[in-house]
Amino acid sequence: MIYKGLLILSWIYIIFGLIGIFRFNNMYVRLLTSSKIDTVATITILIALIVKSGINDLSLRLLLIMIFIMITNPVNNHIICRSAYLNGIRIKGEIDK
Amino acid sequence: MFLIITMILLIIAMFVTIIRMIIGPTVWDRLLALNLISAKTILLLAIYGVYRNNILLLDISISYGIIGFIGIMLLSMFIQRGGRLK
Amino acid sequence: MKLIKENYKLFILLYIFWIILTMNFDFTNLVTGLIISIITTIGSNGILYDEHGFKVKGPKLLSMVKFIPRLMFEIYMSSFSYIIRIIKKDCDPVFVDVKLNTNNLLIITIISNAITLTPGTITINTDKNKLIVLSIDDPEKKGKDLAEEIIEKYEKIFK
Repeated sequence: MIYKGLLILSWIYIIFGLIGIFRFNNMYVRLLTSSKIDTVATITILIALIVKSGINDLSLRLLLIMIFIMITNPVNNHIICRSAYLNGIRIKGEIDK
Repeated sequence: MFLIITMILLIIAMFVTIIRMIIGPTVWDRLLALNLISAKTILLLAIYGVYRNNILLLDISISYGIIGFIGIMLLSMFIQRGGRLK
Repeated sequence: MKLIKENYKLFILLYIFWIILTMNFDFTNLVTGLIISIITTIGSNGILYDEHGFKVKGPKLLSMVKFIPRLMFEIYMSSFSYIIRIIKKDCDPVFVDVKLNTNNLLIITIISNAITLTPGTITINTDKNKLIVLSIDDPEKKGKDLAEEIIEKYEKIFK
């Protein structure tokens, strides 16, 4: 019963992440919006799957995937944003596009 | 039932993200779309593994995560140096 | 054998990881994991460990246990406020300088990872203990308040 509620919450996150990709016209805001909302959706779905499958070897493996995603997904976003920053793109110049 | 709806929603979300990848004005938009698709692939495999109650699919999910991480890291380091290989 | 005695923490960690990943309690599987863990521990001498012990000083275990529920709470709270922001379409990004008090490299890494994990802020670049954070501009809050807020939230736990 709990996992159904968590899955419904994650649908809301995924749909708003998709809206956030197409709604803004500044590149940094798109980076902020979509990737962050998507990380929250990922964590929510994995918690729901752990609650559904109970305590066995399946849920231990899912916990491992969750720790892996919580470490590597911020690194991906950080390095995409850093390569845009070091290439000299500033906030004001991008808004007009 | 709820798992099937979640999987269909994830596939639709991946197709919508591909549109962003095609029309994206800058390179970093395309990298962002690649990042989103890679995260959603991990999720799709994990949900399918729980739905089938098969533990081997979760291993494939972990290895897809590693491949996506290394790919995005190398591509963005390559762009950061201005496209030179050195 | 002397190397194993010095690096026993790394060896135990590798062996636990092997058992979780394979989930198979046969005799041959356990022996194979033991041999591969010993080879990896000997080969990786000098990367994590030195003659003097650990190269980086980690935080205490109790503070990590206190840190993770706080992090989950912050993630969900700021994600709700971000959804309202998407509906109203008022986003105005700004760069903020945050100066931390600590010099420990591992704690700086953990804090910047946590900043990136919460919706609405991304760490862009670091220079010693000064972070450049991309954040969303609030009309009421100036950038200074956000820096103090981050220090208040995360750094106090690691004291």
